Amino acid sequence: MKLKKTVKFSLSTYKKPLFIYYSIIIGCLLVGLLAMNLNTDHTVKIGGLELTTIIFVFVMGLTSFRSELYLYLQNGISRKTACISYFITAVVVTLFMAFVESMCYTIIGKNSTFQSAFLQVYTEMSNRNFLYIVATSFLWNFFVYFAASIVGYCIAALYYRMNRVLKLSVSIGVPVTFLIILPLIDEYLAKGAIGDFAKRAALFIVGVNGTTYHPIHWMIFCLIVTLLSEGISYRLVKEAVIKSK
Amino acid sequence: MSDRIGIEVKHVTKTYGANKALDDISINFQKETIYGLLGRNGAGKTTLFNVITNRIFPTSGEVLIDGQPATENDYAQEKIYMMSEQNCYPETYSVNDVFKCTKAFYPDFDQEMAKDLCKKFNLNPKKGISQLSTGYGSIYKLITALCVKADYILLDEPVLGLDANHRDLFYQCLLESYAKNPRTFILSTHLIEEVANLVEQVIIIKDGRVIRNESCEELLSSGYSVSGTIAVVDEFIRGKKVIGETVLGGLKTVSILGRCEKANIPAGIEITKLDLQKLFIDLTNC
Amino acid sequence: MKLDFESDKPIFLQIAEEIEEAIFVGAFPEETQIPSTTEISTTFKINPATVLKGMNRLIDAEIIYKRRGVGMFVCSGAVAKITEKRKSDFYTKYIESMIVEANKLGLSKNELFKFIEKGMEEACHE
Repeated sequence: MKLKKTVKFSLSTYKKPLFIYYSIIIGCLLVGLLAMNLNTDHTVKIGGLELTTIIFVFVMGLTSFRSELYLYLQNGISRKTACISYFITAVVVTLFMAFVESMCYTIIGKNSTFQSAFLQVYTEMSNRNFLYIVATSFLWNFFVYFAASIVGYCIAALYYRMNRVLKLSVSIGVPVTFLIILPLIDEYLAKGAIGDFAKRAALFIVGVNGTTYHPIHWMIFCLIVTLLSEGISYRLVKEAVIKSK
Repeated sequence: MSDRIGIEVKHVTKTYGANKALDDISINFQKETIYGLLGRNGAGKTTLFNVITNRIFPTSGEVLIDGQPATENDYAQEKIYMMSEQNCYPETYSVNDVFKCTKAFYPDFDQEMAKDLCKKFNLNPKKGISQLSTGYGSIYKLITALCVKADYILLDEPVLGLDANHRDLFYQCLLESYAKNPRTFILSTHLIEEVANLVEQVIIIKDGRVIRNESCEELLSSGYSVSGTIAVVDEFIRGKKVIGETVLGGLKTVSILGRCEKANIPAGIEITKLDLQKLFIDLTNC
Repeated sequence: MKLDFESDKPIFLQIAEEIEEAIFVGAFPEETQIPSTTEISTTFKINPATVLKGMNRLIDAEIIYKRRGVGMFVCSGAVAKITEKRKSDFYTKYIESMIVEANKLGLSKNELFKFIEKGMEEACHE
């Protein structure tokens, strides 16, 4: 398989977007830190920029699917190679981003009221030693970023393979189910049981139990989501054909 | 490792619901030969190309490239390059980006030659591909294809939107590239007259089936044209298979299928080469 | 060199004849190189295999030969060979059709001879 060539090319296409993304982040951080320093009441707090990274890699997955598939097919690369290449590229890119951010945000957090998302979730961990925080938040970030990038790709693959009817049903059906139907059932039929269950499940997955933390829950959850999505993507890509316009 | 060389299309059928786009097609494309794949719009030329280049899957049958299955096979596909109507690159790409990308996957891609050809065709390689006109949209693609040194180059309607000068230039560049790096070119087109002298082998596709697969010479010698006064021509063509006729004033020109017996030509009849366009129209009419 | 794509004479044959003509009139002297297959193919936009077929015909007739790695050259004595061939073709090519036309016009033998004499005189004066 021409995996090496493909991965190399794929990585080169992320240089520019990453540069632009981090330039914006740095800009925002500078503005935010400046605001915090000028603000003597300490009412201004910034943090949780990891969320934007999650969105960034999710969108990266969404947009990469079709553009990479077409480009690779034009250049004699099989779908199998295309899919695996994206997987590897996503690992590299998200490892890089997780590393950079876990370092930077923890360091910045030490010297100001800035708080990384990791510490916002596991608040008591700020008492632990620096290296531990960086290492754990690195892994924590990596697994969620990686999951987001593969989920984005998977969703794009799903939409690409679905016909118009399915697309419409999913696009309308899913939000309606989760935002309207489930809450209604919860309110009138389950008397809040679904809501409670959801809350407990969320806490379990994130691994927060009062003040005992198990970040590993979250990492395993993300890993499972990732592997599932990758499996689905692979099956979907295998039979994806170029659509004539 | 197989000793077989060439693209072997073996009993390939492609159906879309009730529609058979390709119907049990079997063709062998040899190495280092220029082929003309002729057919009307919708005959199945593009579909065949798409099956060969792993863009769509055959419903049944298989394609082998130098003995290796073509489907989902990186090593087989690196021997092929296709220029198609469809754009497969991000809209933000410039022509140079396309060249760079092609070089990444086809290391033998001749960037110098690509630069050269851009000059010849008067194309600014810094331009974005979505900003190009129809003609130049074809031109950057055919320049790319001509500079890829793969064994089999497929060109789907390469001269779409090109003016006469550019078409002429393209044919010249094609022959030069073929002379410098002999490889197989398969041109799909419906401009039969223009490519008749360029191609060695002609394959005609109608309704997803191959109806002719022979050398250009054989095709040309399958008939002839006669012209003369209407009365003389009408007498001559009695009992012969006529596939087309034109009348201008008192002169009539008729295309005939069959061998020409030079010895029995009556006075007033002029024999000329078979009109390939008429032959093509006749063969592909329903 | 000119090719007629409308004629029913195969292209490869026309190429052979045109090269032969050029050698005959001295445009390509003996032991000099003639245009390559590639040059002819790109100039006239013809498939190189067709050009090669025409050239092979001349090689078989020992009018030209191939020098490995260099190209095609005119054989010594090619002009003499061509002249021989054309002399024997002269009757079928020119005399026969001349007589057919003469008969169409109803010319007598004497009138025909007078034409030939006139033509040869005028050629001398040029």
